[in-house]
Amino acid sequence: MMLAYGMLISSGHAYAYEPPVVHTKETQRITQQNTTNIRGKVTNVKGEPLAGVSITAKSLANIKISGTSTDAKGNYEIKQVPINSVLECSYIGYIKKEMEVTGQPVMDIILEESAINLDDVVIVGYGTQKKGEVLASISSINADDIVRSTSPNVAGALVGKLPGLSNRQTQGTPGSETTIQIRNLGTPLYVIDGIIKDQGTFNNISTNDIESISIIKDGAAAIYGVKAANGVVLVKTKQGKEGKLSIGLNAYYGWQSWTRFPELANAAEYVRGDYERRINSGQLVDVETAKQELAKWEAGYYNPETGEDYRGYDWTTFVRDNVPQYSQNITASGGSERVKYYLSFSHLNQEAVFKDYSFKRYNFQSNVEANVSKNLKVGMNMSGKLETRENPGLSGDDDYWFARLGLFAARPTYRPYANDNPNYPALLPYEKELNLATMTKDISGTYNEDWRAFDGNWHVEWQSPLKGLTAKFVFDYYYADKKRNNFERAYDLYTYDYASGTYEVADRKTTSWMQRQFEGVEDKNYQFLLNYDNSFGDHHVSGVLVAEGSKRRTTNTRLAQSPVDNNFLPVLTNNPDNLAYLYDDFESRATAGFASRLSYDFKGRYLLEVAGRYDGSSSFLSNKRWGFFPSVAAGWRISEEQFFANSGLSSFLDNIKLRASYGETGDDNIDGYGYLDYIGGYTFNVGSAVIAENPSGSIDGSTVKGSQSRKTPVNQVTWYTSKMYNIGLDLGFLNNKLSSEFDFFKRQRTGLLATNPKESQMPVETGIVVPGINQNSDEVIGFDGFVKWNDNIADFNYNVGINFGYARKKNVLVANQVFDNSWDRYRWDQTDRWANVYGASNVWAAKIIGQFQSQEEIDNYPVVMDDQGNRTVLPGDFIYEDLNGDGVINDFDSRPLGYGEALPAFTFGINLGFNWKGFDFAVDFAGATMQTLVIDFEAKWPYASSNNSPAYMLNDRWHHEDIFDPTSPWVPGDRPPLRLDNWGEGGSYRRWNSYFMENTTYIRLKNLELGYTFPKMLTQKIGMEKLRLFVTGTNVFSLDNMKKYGLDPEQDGRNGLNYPQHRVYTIGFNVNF
Amino acid sequence: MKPAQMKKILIALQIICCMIVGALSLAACKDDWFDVESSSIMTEQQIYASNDGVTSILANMYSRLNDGQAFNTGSMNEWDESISNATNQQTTDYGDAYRRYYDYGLIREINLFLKNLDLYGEKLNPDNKEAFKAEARFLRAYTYFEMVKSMGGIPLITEASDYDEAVDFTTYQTPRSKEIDVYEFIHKELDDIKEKLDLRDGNNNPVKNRASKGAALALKCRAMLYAGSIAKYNASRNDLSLTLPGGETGIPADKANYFYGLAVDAAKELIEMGVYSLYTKNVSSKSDNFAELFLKKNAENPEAIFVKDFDGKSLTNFYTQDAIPRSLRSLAGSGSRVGPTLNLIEQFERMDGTISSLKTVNGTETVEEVTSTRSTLDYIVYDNALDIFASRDPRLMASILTPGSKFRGADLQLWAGIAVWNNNGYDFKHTLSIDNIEQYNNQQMTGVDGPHATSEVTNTGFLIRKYLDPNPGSESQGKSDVAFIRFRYAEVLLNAAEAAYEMGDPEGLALGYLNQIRTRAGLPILSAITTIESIRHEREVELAFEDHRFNDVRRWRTGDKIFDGNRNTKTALICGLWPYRISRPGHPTDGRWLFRRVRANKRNNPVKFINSNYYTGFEASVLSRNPLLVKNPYQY
Repeated sequence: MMLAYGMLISSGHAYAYEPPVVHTKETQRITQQNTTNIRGKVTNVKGEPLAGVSITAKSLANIKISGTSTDAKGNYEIKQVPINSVLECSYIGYIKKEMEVTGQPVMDIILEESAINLDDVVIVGYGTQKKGEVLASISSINADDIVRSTSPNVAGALVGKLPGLSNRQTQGTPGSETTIQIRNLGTPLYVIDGIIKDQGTFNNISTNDIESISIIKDGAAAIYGVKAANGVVLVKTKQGKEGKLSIGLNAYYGWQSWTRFPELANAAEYVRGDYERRINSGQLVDVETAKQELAKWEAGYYNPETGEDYRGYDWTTFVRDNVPQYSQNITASGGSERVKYYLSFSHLNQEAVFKDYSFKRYNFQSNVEANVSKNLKVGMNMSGKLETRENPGLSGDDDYWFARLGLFAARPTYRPYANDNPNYPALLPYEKELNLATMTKDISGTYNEDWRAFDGNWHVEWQSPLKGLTAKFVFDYYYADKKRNNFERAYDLYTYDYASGTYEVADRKTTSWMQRQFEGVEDKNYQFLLNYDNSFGDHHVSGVLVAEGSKRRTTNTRLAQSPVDNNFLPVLTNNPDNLAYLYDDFESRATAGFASRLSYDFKGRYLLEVAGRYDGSSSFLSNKRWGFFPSVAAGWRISEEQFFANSGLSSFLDNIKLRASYGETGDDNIDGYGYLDYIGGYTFNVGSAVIAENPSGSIDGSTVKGSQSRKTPVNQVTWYTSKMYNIGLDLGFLNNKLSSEFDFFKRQRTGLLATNPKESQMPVETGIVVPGINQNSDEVIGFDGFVKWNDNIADFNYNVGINFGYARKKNVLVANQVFDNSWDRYRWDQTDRWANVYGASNVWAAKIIGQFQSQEEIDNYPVVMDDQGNRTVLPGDFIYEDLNGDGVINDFDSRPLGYGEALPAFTFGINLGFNWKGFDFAVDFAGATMQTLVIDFEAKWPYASSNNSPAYMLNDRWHHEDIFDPTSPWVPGDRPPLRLDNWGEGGSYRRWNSYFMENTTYIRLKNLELGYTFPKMLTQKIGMEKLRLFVTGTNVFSLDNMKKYGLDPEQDGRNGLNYPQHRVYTIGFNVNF
Repeated sequence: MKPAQMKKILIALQIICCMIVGALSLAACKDDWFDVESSSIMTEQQIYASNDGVTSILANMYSRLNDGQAFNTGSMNEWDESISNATNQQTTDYGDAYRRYYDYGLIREINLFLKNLDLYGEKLNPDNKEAFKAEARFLRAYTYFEMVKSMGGIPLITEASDYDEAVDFTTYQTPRSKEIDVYEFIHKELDDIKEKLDLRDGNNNPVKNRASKGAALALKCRAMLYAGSIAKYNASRNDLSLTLPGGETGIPADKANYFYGLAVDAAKELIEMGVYSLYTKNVSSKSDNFAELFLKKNAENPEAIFVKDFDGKSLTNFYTQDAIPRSLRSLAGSGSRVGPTLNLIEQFERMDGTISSLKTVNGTETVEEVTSTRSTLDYIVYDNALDIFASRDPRLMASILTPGSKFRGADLQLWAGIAVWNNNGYDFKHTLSIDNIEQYNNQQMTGVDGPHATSEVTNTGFLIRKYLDPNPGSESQGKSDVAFIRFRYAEVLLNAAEAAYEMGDPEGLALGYLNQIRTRAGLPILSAITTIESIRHEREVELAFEDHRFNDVRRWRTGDKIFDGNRNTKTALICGLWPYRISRPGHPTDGRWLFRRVRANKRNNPVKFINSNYYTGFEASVLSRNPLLVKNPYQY
């Protein structure tokens, strides 16, 4: 197993630069010396044979004599090798090995995997480059490291593994997407097998089918032009390899549980707090009755005769532990010189902790490439997927939200079933739709979403007679179809009458709802490519020329019926008159571009690259449509210099490369600029009114859809320009066992949409909206890099790596803001200030400098906390800092605290692994800091919406020694005292403050894997090339500062009610035949 | 160079040429290539080509008409008719931006519509085109009235300017018109268009959800009454300076009778149309008749003149969902958003024509705090909860749900708690939580509908009935299709009565109009109007919750006196009435009712109308973009 950043192995397009064989007199002389025939086997340290390893015999003067490569079983034979020559054995991904030929006939060779092999091939924009020649800031990851994650989506599998990749898995909902950004730049561009795709497609490729992923972090993205300002994610799917048919089976079965969810109060705590808050608020409470009631709850009193029930109920019984997640994958690959193929089928099944909630996915991938003639290659990559999300049909769009709220809101003083009989869901008088017992498909109906997608990529590649020149044509067609069927039934809720022993329908959820939704995406992409790669002596030239165009069309049709008369058949024909709405929408976009890149290097020592793209987008008016995006990069491989080789440094420093790049990219997806905003006329379906349609007909009328005049056409706006500066340093020590890369960057964006400076002069009375212009700018500054060590002690191979990235955005200019006064300017002006902090309302907070310790302190305190003369303040309430010294705490006392609610500014990962005698072990830690979570709603207010609260809120609080006696002394706690009206009383909860802000910081064991590969000798006996068993753990533990809230550190919901991530343990196997 | 090599290069060049040609062809078709479709954009030529297209634009404008507090339970609760049961109202006053309405976006679109009809509407039937223009001008007059009500005189803009980035934007500046000129504009416009809007069906029923002659006259009647009042009462308040030197606010006092006269004329013209009348279809109950008036639509309701209609499906209103009593709600968290006040309830006359307080104690009425749990006041004991409201104006029960009321055939549960006799006084027992009502001596402590000092039930002891949809299911997801009546016949009569009386009633119309209202209500008629208060009082009761109260006290220039923010001023202090069931075993009063007059716990401060509520202040950015605007009186 290897951890390879920056290394990408491609079997497809290695333009390996090989020195020409020079026939000199020396060669002839050698052949006359003693020669020997050598054969042997090349394996890796695990004993697995390596096919296609290049074996070269060289003279001591480093002149190639002859060469061969290993067959499928790793065997080779090389004839007439002079004694005392050197046998060089090289294979991508492995450390090159040289052995002196001493005359023995059999030389078995064991190759070690290398951390970095500078001859490895890396995917770059529209082509590949050798690692050593790459000038761009690119991070890569290969198949082994991707699959070592049970994350159902690809983005999740990348967490903690790539420097400069910012991510946070904010929701663990099965089937949800993970947001990733490159260097916190924004949503990146996704390119799969050379074709631009959307995020959804990227996330739902089967991780089994990915050969490698590269992210372009710097100006080299310019070759992707108008959409590439936020960096590019390049994905390459697996291709067949020459060799006999190899069948692989991979499967795992796992058990998932929530990592963390707030622990909720029990019935006694809940009731006690409820009395307590009323007494603290001076509300009337019949103390004697209350004491008796509380005592019963604390005792859990229950009388089955009368039905008096004070037992309390733990609603977390509806949250299941160890729910299954499993996956199977079968691949077949192989090929001859003529045809290579890779076929794969995968299935993933993930259940949620809530019963009846599940996610399933089926993927197939079929990549075939054929050499039709010596110079002509055709290929097709076809893939498809079917995703199914299914859960009970509950009110609202997000049924997972409802279940979580049902869990959180549920009062522990109620029970889910009448008389505990599971056939009779009980009426919860406070929230009748929130009874978790009703959240099953049987009772509530079913929500089902199927997403089918097909992607076909056909290409023809022609090796021209001119050396190094190839031409390629690609056509790609993508079609996705999402169907949603949502049926929310009406159902009955019961109470149990103890006197008569009967169940009674106490209430009915009457609002039934049925929805159909059809969403389609169709993408067509045409691409012409010319690739050139050749060397002239010490000069190496390569280049690419591209012309491409794409069209995308999306459609969205939704219709719904409510109420649904038939509670059983989910068909709209039930009662077509009850059409609740009908919505139909489509839009299309087109882009075209011409791109080219030219690379030159001298002896692999001085490197230069220029690239550019002329790009057009339908998002803009025709005279604002086209733009040119250039980039340039230069590099110096100091380690290739003679003076370096002569210096002492070369004994331990193998590789040192300096890189610098600059590139301009664009973005046609502009905040505040809508689809077709450059067109005037009227927009249909905006506002509607019940009016008589026709002057001469009925006066009753019906609903007429409105049309609204469009705003002034935005005819000035074009893409914004992003300039990316990057400086990098690559280092390799001790035979590249220790390697590292560091990058510093700055991205400046200019031409972001701004308010027109003349807008502030346009009288409101004209009703004219002055269109925006490209004037704002921002910048992101940061650094990222990795260091890793890869070595072996005998047959114990191990690696250690750390990667990190820091990136933070600043608004450089937000032009033409108008402020009424200087406070407004201070408070809201965004120019030259951190993004996500200024202009945001929540991270401006009042600073807490303590808590009141006694009533006396409150009475004497000169500053008013609650707008009411501190009348409502109690001991334990927060003391805010009166920053402006006016004796009153209000908005003027708030200051920007925290980093803003965005992706973390600093992320890092630590990767460790070893393998030894068939055992392999790997762990990935992922961590982040410098991100603010503003706590609010349920996570902040006890008894939010009169519902249950996390136990810590009701326990660790300031309270009276005898809660029923307001004159008894106060007992300190962490939180302010409980009260009825958090908003109105005390001031502690009333404003954004530093107590309810966290700089979320964590390091979590994201992935853990331990595998054992059985010795081949054993497995071959039962017909297996390889048999490996493994166990994995995901989200095993985390060290963080969110434990006190009971929240998963990666969740970003202010109310803390995001679906937390799963902790998953799996067992599985890989088999190859 | 060898021929073979030469050939290779040639072939390669050919290929490259082909590629370039391919690429260029892609570029050549670039304009077509970038053509994209839209599912929502129509050009002016397309949309103005048909009645349907034009009607669609009008529908958008209708949907944007301003309505003050129509069906908006939030703004309904701001003055003295009701309070919010959901939130504590901490504010002492509403600031100088209160009810600011300045929608020149809509004015622009109406002006643009008038221009575009001429530019692109050549395919329309000329008659229809004229009707559409008249309709748009009605909407513009309506919008200017909404704005002048809020801001005083505003710039009168009747043509949409073209946007030209090159010109000096100062040329776009227009100063405020005089307040009188805006009212005159409304007057002239409505006179000019009213005859072009006389839309009726085959049975001579006028259209109500769209502009009509009746709507134009009703608007004119109301606007002219407002202008008359401003002229008259601005002068009466020497202690305030509500007149700007340029006439942007304030109307000369000598114009009062002119405008009052116009209001009376408009009313007379509307009455003479003969197509509108007071709703009297339910002869069995005066109360139910009055309640029904707000539920019937179109031809069924001869009283409605101009309404905002809903279909309960795609065009929903959440009023019933917001206001429904808790015992009838179907959605958690919904309902009981409107808590009518005792202040309003006591304005409903006794059947003998007197206005009097509800009697809760023997002796002086005392306002208690809801948090006090014991009292030794000498409460009057009632047999039934309804008895205290006996022989009051039938409109009380039609407009308000009181303790003892039924709705949708169900008895409402409105009682605050149990009054336990103890040692010459009462201990008051209330449930702790309304979600889980406790028992006291096997009696339910508090009614499901409150009153209780929490949200989601009434805090005053009352709930609203006016406009509340009696159809089961309409309280969920905004499915009520009840229409909000913007203008109705009764208001026109009251406007005319007021205007006529204010100008000395030369034609002797006021009493007749007022008595029509009282007769329909079921009250004894008056023999004479002795003070303007009789008419104002009738308005307060008849038009409660119909977006008149704030506008009326504003134009009468009495707002700052009625709502002076003083706890001791009866009209400013908001009260509720909490009923208790008496628990005094063995005593004749056991099981009977007493009532406590309580301070509304959700309205912490007495109501305060500040001087800048007479004319709402301009937004700072509006002023800065147009330096020709002058600020309003009392604006910061």
